Order: sequence, then structure tokens, then C-alpha cells
Amino acid sequence: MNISDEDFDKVISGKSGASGPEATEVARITRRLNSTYVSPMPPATEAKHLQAIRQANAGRSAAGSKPAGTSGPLSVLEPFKNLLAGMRPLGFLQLSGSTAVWAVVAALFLVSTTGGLAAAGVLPERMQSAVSSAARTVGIQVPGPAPAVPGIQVSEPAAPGQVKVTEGDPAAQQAALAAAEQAIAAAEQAQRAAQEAAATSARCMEESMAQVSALVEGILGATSPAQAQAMVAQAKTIGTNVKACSDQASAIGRNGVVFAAQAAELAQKASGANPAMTPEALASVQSAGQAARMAETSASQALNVSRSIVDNVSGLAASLVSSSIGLQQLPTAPAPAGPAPAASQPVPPVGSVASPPVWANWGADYSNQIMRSFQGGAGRRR
Amino acid sequence: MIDGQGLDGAVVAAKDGADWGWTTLYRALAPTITGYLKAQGARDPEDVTAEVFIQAVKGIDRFSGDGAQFKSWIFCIAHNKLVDDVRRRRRRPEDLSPDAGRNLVHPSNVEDQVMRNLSDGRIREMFSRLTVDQRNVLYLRMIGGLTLEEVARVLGKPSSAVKALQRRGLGAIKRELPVQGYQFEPSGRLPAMGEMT
Repeated sequence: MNISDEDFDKVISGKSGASGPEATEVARITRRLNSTYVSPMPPATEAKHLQAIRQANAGRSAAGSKPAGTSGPLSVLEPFKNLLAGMRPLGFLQLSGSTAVWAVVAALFLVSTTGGLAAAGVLPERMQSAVSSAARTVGIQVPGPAPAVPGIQVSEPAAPGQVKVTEGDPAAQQAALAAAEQAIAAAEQAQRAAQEAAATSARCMEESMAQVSALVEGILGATSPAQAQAMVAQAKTIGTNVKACSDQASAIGRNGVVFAAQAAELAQKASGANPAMTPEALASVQSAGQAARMAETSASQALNVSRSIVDNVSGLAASLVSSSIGLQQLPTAPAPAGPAPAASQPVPPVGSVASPPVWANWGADYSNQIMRSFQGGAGRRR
Repeated sequence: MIDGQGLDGAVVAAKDGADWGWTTLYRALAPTITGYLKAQGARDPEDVTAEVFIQAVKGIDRFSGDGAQFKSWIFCIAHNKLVDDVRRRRRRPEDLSPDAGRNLVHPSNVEDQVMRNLSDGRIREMFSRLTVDQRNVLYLRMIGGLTLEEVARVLGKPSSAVKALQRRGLGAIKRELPVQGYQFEPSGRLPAMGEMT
């Protein structure tokens, strides 16, 4: 077989332009090989493998490589920039020329990147700062001499989560200490809830971005209308999953606010027990409350972003169906065999379709022939 | 077929330790890697694919390049694993335990499996006539979708040698096609068994 390197590359990479009987034959052998050996990973196997990969990745992070998620908002955007830059109208979508599809794909990316910002850096960072501040103050670390007032005096920095009582009326000391410790515990719960909400929304967005990215890749490289339609169905599932995940983040964020309110109440109690503690304790729980509210804001944003993704994914599905691709007119199952392309015609690139009827006919022809060979082969072979 | 474009971002994320980067790379490349291993007769291609990715995770710090280079790098790992697998099998006798062939045929889909085995058997037989090197080149090109240069890197051979192996391999397949009953007529129609001479 005498095929140029250029034509061979075109055939195997799915680019059009290769022609001639040799290229046709290479394309068909390549298709045969791929249909024989390459198939999607079974979901259970994929889940098992991805679990093992994540564990190895976590082990790598723990062993001193870059920890996961250190990339910051800019590098979260990077994959999408690259993906957008690398987008090429391949295969199935090449036929459409539909600006509507591209618009929806672009909108999908915009939404994803906005979500990435919210999840992977900006808000959590601000929130983290507030949480850190709260943690510092909730620990009642008040350096230097405390005001000389009756009751509790904090004379030196205390470890986080501890209140140092040095002098004053023993009963007042006891009551204030109990109230202050409760306030600290509640504020710490608010802090944990805030961090958890941030982590959940970040994970949520990271997973949804991965899914959306893979999905758009898949849609761009779809080799048949049926495959593209299956991916559209997958898009809807992804949208639902993202929403569920973001709802969870939002709920955790709201818990943070509840804990913060408890902290504020307990701080009031502490201040009632000892007015001298009021400014510090109140400032602490206010910070914790602010952190928790930020957590809720972040979680709410994640929720809104997820809703936008759901809307846009649905829009993508609708656009694919109603655009000039004319999905609804195309057969989803191989059509009856028809005239096949002549050898001199351009070779349909592997991984794409030259036109739906060619694809459909080829599939039907192939399976019919295999079936006939199977049914009649044993008797005819000598 | 994934050509490595569009994987650049996932590679950056994977190098940065983000799980989603690995998920994207796995979903994009695992089917073709498994396909390559299957074609080459690896005993448990799916498990080997998992090993390939885990080795890639462990070695990602030593890798630098874009999506296309990552693809050729991971195929290099896969090919080396395959060579190891073949060596292991030569050293150890075949597993004759009752579980050894449990994945070959799923009882609920015997007919499909028979059809697949028939088709697999023919294409495997066609390629089995090639030399190991010719097979390696054609599988990496046609299943892996690697360029000549990438195949050369995976196999550690000069591009000119890979090109020659490809030409001779294709020639051998062309000679083999009529014998196997797979001659594709100019019309693109597959001949029925009765039409074969």
C-alpha cells in the first residue's frame, strides 16, 4: 500500500482531504481496528480506575509534590482558554456551521469559568482571611495589659480556644468562662462550616468543570448523530448532578450562619457575665459570623452558577437539536445499505463523518455483511 | 480519535495535582490505550490501563509538554507495560484456574460476544501475519493515532525505520486482505462469504 505520510496522518487523525484507493483502504482498516478494539470503558471499571488514580494523585500531593488546588483562579481558567484555543470544528459539528451551537458552547465556558473563579480562589480566599481573623480573635489572644476592670482580666495571649482568667470574683469568673468557652466552640463550628462550604463548592465546581470540559470535547468529536444525542442526554445528567452538589454546598453555608448566630448569642451571654470581655468576644464572634455569611454567599453563588450551567447545558441540548444540524431528521440507527462512496471520493476521516448517509450506510453494510458471513460461513467454508 | 489537542489544559491541571485533570485525561485516552493493549494481546488490558495511568500520576513531575506530547508519553508507558506483560507471561505458565477466562463471554450476551470474537479473530489473524515491529507501528498509528515521530519515540527507533515498517506492514496487510475475505471493493461493499473465491 503506497500512501503518503501526509495522507496517512490525515486519515488517522480524522482530518479530511486524503483521497484515493490507498487512503480509502487505510481508513477502512483503521475503522475496523478501532471498532474491534476500542470501546468506552465500562462505567464500573472507569469508576474503579478513577478512584485508584485519585488515590495515587493524593499520595503524590502528600509526598511533597504540588498539592491539589494550588493553581489559583488563573490556572483554573487556563484549561478552558486552551480548550477554546484548541477548538476545531471537527466531525459532526463541522457539518452544521451553526453559530447557535458555538454561542451556546461559548456561554457554557463563560459560566464554567465564572464558577471556577468563585470556587477556586477569589471568594474562598476572602472568606478564609475572615475565618483566620475570627480564629485568631476567638482564641482570645489579647496581647498586652488588659483594662483594669473588675471581673475577668486577660493578662497575656492565650492559645486558640482558651480563655485565661487570672483574677476577679470567682463566681463571675466561672460564669463568664463557661459562656466564653461556649461562644468559642460555636464560633469554631461556624469556622468549620464556612471552610467546609468553601471546600464543597470548590469540589463541586471542579468536578462540574471536568465533566463539562469532557462533554464539550466529546460533542466536538462526536462521530455520529447518535453519539452526539447521547452526549446531550449526558449533559442533562451532569446539570442535575452539579445542581445537587451546589445545593449541598449552599446548605453547609447556611449551617455556618446558624452556628455564627449561636456564637453571637453566646457572646452576648459572655458579655453579660463579664462586661470586660464584651468587646473582644463580640468582635470574635462577629468575625465568625461574617465568615459564615461569606461561606453562605459563596455557596449561594455556586448554586446560582450551577443553575446557569443547568440552563446553558439545556440550551446546548436545545440548540443541538434545533440547529441546522437537523438532528431530528438524521437516523439514530444505521439506515439500510445504499450506494457506497466511490474509491475516488475523499476518504471520510476516521473519527468524523463525511456525511450522515455515508456513515449510516457504511455501518449498516458492515454489520449486514458480518451477519451474513457469520450465518453462512460455516456451511460454505471448506 | 483523540489527537492530543484540547488536552493541554487537562495536562496543566494534572501536573498541578487537580483530580479533574486526570479524570479528563483518563476519559480521553483510556479507551484507546485499552484498545491498543487489547490488540496487542495483553492479558488484562483494562487493569494494565489503570497501571499505566497510576504510573503516569507518579511520574508526571518528570513530564513536560502539551497534550499531544502527554499522549505519546502515556503510550510509551503503555507500550513498556505491554513488553513487561509479555516477559512476565513467558516466565510464568498460563493461568489455568477456573477464574482465568471468566471475562471472556458474558452469559447474557453470548451472541454479541460470538460475533465480536469472530470479527476480532479475523482482524487479529490478519495482523498476526505481520512482524512484531510492523504490528507495533501500525497499532500505534491506527489505534493510538500517533504520528510517525511519536511512534518513533515510543518504540525508540528512527523515524525512517518506523516509516519503512509502516510501508511494509501495510503492504503485507494488502496482500492478506483477499485471503482473509476482507477485500474492500472500490464500491466500499464487503463481499459476502458466497462471493469469495
